Amino acid sequence: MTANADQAGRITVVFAFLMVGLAVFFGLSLNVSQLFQERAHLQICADSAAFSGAVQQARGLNRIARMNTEAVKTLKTTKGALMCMVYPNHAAGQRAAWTAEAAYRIYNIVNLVNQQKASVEAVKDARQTAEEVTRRNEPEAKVTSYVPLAWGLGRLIPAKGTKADFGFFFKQATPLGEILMYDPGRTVNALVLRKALQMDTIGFTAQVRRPSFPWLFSWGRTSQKSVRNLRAYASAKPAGGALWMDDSADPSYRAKLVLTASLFPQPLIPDSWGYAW
Amino acid sequence: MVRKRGGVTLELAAACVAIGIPVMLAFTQLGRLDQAARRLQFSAQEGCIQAAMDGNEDPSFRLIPVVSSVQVSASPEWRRLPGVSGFSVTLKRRYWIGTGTGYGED
Repeated sequence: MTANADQAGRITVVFAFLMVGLAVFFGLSLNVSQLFQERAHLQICADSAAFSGAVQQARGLNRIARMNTEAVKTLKTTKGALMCMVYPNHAAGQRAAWTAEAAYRIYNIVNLVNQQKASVEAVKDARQTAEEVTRRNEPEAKVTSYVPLAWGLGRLIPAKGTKADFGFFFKQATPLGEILMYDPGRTVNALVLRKALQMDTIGFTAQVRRPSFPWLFSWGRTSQKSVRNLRAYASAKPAGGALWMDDSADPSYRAKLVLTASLFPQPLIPDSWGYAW
Repeated sequence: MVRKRGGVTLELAAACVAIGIPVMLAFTQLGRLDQAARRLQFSAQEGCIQAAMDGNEDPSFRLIPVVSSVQVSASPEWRRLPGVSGFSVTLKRRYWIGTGTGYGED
């Protein structure tokens, strides 16, 4: 047996390995730029969805802030109207005060119901908007949205707002003649919705998924069926306004993008995870 | 008899090293490329979000079209080379985003 015969086929094996290597590089070069572009595209889709959702939430908060202002204005107007008059006797004044109080309490309930409705609608609008935006930006993608609480705009709680006494002036007959007296009446609160804490999170997170072809070099673990989608997350929140500050509200909420998270499956480079806006 | 200088195993090992080094170098470069891509992505995102934030004061809610545009060109040291200097790619895409929180009302 000659040396050449002994070495026959060796080059084929080496060549096969080299070919595999070359194929890998070829695949890599084709995939990488496309994946970068796809990732950036999907991230912007998620940003747009989250921002648009937060805009709707901000609108809801602005609406509620205005309702708060209205509730206090109505309370003060009612109180002022009662005090503008002098009633001929205590009973008449008391009747008027009780009527005003009952009317305002009914208004309070209606106002609270409307505020809760606005709160729930804002979340519904946010979800719908996120879906609409995603549908326009990437028809193949699906969006899943998250809000801090399932019901309404996060941690909004009804709270006692401005207090007012429904007092009235009335004439009182005395042996010395009629004198003007004042009954302080009962204390009435303007019930308004307010955030439990200023720092409480009201926000909107969108997760955008796009079915992706299981590439040779797709991000992460393509062996798991559940991650055959490219995903991007983004969070935005309404910021800048205040639902309630003592006697006044500040209806100047606007949407702010707070985080554009990275993709799942995990990108190759851990450094590129997450970005605080 | 001719003495063999190395077996298939040795040659395979050499081939693995020959392939492995460029692969590792490529992954290192991929890291840099990823960072550059993220930078570009952030600038594109920032442009989109800024456009939407500018429209926040308007009371009416609407979806506005925004254009994300980033230009990719060679780094300065490569730009000196003939042929590379004029090379650049512009990635442009239109997105829709919601704006108009209505705080400018009243």
